[in-house]
Amino acid sequence: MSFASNTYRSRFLVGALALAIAALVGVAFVFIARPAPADEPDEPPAPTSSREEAARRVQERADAAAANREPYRAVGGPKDPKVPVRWNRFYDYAEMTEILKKLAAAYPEIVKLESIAKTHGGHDLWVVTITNHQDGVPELHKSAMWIDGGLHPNETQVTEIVLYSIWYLAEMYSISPEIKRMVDERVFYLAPMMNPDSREAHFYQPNNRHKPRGGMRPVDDDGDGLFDEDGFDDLDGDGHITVMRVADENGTHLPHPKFPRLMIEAKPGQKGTYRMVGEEGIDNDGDGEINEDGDGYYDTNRLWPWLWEPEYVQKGGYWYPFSVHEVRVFGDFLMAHPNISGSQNYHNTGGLIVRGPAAAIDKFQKADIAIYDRLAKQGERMLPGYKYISQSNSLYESYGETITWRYQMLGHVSLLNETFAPFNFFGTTDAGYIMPRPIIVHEFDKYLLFDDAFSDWQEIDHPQFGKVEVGGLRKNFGRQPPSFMMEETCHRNMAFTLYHADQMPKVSVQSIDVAQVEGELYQVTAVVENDRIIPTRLAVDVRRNISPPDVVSIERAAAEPAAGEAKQDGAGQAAESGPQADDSFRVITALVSDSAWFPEPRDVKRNPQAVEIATLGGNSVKYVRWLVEGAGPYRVSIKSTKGGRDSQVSE
Amino acid sequence: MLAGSMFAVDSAAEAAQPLEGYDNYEAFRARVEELNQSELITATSLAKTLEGRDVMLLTVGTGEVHQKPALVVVGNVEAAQLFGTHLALGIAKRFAQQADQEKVHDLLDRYTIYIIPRPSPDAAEKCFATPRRRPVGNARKTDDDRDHQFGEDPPEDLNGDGAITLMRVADETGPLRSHPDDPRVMFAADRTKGESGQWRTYVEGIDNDKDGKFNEDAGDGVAFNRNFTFRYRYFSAGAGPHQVSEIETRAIADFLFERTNVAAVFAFTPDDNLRHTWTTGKNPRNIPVHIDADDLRYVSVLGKQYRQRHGGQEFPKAAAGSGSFSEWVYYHYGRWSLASPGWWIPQTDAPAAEADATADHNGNGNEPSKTPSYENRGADDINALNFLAAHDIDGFVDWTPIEHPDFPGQRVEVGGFLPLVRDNPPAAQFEELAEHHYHFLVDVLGKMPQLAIQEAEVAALGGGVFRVEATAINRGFLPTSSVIGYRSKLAQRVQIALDLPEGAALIRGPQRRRLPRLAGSGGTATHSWLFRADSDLPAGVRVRAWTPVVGEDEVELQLEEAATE
Repeated sequence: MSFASNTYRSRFLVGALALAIAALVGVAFVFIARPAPADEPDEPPAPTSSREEAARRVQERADAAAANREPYRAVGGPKDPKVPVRWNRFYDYAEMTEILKKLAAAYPEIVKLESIAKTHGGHDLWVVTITNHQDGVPELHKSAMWIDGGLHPNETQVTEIVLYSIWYLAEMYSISPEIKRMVDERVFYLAPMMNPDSREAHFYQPNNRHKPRGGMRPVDDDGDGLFDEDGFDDLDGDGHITVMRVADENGTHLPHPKFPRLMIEAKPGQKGTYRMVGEEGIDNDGDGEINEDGDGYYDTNRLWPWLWEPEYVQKGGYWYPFSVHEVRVFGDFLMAHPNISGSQNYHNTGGLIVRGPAAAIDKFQKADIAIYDRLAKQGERMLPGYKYISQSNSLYESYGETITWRYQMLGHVSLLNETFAPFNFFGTTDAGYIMPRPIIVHEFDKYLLFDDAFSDWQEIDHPQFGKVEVGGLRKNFGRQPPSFMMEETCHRNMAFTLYHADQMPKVSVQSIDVAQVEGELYQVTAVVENDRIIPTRLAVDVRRNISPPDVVSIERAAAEPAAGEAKQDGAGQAAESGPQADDSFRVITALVSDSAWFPEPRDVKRNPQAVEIATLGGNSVKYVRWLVEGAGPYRVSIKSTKGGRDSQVSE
Repeated sequence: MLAGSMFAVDSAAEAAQPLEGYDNYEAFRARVEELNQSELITATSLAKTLEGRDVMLLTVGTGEVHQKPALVVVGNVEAAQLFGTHLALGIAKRFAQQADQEKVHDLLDRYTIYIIPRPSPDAAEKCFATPRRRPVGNARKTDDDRDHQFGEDPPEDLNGDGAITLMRVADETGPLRSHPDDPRVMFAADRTKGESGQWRTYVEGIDNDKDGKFNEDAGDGVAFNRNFTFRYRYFSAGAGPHQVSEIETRAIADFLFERTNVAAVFAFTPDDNLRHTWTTGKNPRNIPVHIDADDLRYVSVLGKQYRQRHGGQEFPKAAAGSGSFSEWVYYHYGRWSLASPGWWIPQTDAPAAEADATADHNGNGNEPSKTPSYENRGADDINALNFLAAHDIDGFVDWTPIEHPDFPGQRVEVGGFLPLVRDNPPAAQFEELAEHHYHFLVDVLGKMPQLAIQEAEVAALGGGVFRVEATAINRGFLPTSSVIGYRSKLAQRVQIALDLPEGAALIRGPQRRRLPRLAGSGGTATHSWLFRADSDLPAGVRVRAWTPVVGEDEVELQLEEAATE
């Protein structure tokens, strides 16, 4: 707590609230000339302060503040981060790598940086692991949140959102007790740039805002035996692929009367002055088509195993799930971490919080949808203008995308944020659904961006079309927030994802009650709890047996546990080592119930010392009662793949 | 020590003796190496499996093999059907040996044959393990019953005969009864006929993990024939963690996708589309799950050809595969897919009564039934027993009582067909079967599409302007691709192009264009170009048509002649 920040409160102390405030602020009394005596509550303090005394007090405060100068922070962020980063701009691969390395070096106790593979283009695929690496708890014993960005590499800002999240957790760990708690309780796996090759291409090669959407491995898109032979051509040399128009008195389009750079369709009966002739490019390979085989193409978000369909059913499906190395290594990572019980897959654009299923033939378990609903409702509050939807109902259908795979095959609550909403332009709901109306974009460009987002029409010579004008929205706008909105986009999305992470299951042994039945026969009743919204195993997990059931086990505590050791890491070790051979201790029965009164409890016939629980629901408890031979103390442990571990020793 | 253990294996094999004359991996590699000596055959490894075995590819052909349209032959798609390896190698051998015949020589001039005789060698090698057991998948340790323990309850060889067969427990609540004509055989009791059960069967073994289930998790690995993407069955035993998850599956899929010259794939597999063709039907949404009607007509013709060549009797229709290789070839690889088990147990009459009339299969001294019962149930098993008897194969373990720790005091017997004897023919039949299939594949190559430029004309229009008109024709039997291959673009489409000399300018193009699918037996497509040449008239232009799955043709056209007409 800071003294300086409390001094302003002394002014109130002269009032009738003096005592109540005094009790609240406590230490602030240091700076009060005369605290109100407790036995004279009704007497107002006398106004004795002279001008000199007041001046002296001001000076004293200034001296004290100078001696222990706390930064005046804007709340919710660090003022002097160890790794200063500007959050109103985009970062390329080298810049991001440098930031990651600095963070890992500055905060080795919580930030670990690892390259899980090299890409086709020779870049590292970075995964950052954030948790308290010094608490001695194995990573897989804590429930984990996977957060990724750049699966579609053209969707630029998502990398910054993930990068910001890494930076924020690291920098705020020592400032915010709440952030510290989250980091200590969980593991965060963060992959800020899943397609570095293509992000580089998007940044530094001519492209539009939609490309490249997959990886850079060459693919023969048009089936002519040639690879990537007819991509975009930057005809006006501005680094942006825009669109082409030809002046034509029998045209179909004409300039918008208010924003003349915007082309609009001629109304029926009206003659246009231009004809639109597609995206900037020429027929490079002489097959009569323009730009039909550019970089890639496979869609890195159509290559996941659940309900995958091939290229001809859905563009981007390529050969088979995980047929691209860069996707497979991420899949392998996720499959190798069954402790992941929540994930966020950032995209742009539209302002959506999306859950699966992505295909209409698919379905989610009702009980699980209720969990999604609870989380996303909060998300809609935290992300103004964002709408929570199910993909197949409200967006478009797709097959083999990652978030449905994560739910259906890995059994965790996975969400996808389509970051940046049309609502964000003017704070109005009339700006369009998912894609902003062009007129809104042009108005925004004119009044808030001072014409920075549009590449103006320029005449060039086109080998197929003759004189052509090239112009349109630049690649860095239309899906991405502008500079001044970047940090807010990062923070709000991160905050919602942290909320999601905080609601992942967390198991604990709440209490152990021991009663002697007769002689050596004891009844031990344990209450185990999951105090978060998400169950330890979702309905889909239980149905398909994706992760093992939770196990609540009892054993005789070998020796007096050292103070404090009982709660945390003892859990794992005790459970791993298994029950000790101990002739004087035997578990006779185990009963499980949802109620403290054990009405019609489940009678555990096999292995009663290690009771399997199919799932521990959100914000709920289970009661386990053993009859054992042999006096305590007993150690009760709970082990959950997705909800962490805990153990406690009875009194 | 070594000699002793070998002796133990030998004695077990003597009792069982299935797969006599079959190649284990070592013998298989030796046989491949032998074939590799041929000038026409090149053996390469597509991948090393989990256990370090090679997934072998034999490329049969001459010259620029990858530039010619190719036929792929895959043997042993199902691990238990080991004979597929022998037939695939027999086919390779025949192409190499008969290459001096004019017909075969011509075929190898035009086509390449890729042969993958043993796609999942780790799985195949399990055929030779002791105790012998019908293998499912490769060496990956799996959790077949999804209880998060891997291979915790495998079968055991309780009677010590070196093979895992069945065990049956006498139980009136069981689902099975003994057959009146042959007590070795059981069939399902029909409660509506007042039949109570007599037996309950399990795979031979004990309940290792005491969960009340027997041998429910042998950790049987991932099956090549269930690991492909079409109709993949998620979370099922043998299917793997996801589609194309295994080294060998991926290696073979990658190889095939890279080889754009592949036109058709023949597989020895339980899935069949030559005797029982796939069916057409309405596809859900835009996802094909039924064969296209036009494609079916062509496959049916090939199926008829297959039946003639093979000469075998009908056999039961194969159940629709899930994640199977041959369906994948058609639906997700876009090529002609031809699938057949290659061999099955034919209808065999009971051997004529021998002089020894008291002979009894079960050796328990009972008189054999005097009159047949006309009981149809169990007919398949009785036919298999007849077949084994006719070929003098010791393929059935007579039911013999054992003491079973999980069924104390109950009558438990171990017995049944030996593993693999019903999946594989006697080795003596390899040559004949390989010969049949070789001839069929020669027939298939004879029915491949034949791309040619039927007509190409150049007309001088004056002012240095010329029109070229060319027609591509398919003179072969099969269309230039299947409908699904065309739609998916997985099989490259036919392209036609006009190669212009320097200085000529195209007026109407494009210079190169993809053509529609050309039907078999004379399907055509025409394309024309207009161009203007310099005053310095070039000698000629060239029209080319090609696709790697079919081949190519080209025609040179003289401009001068045209100009003077």
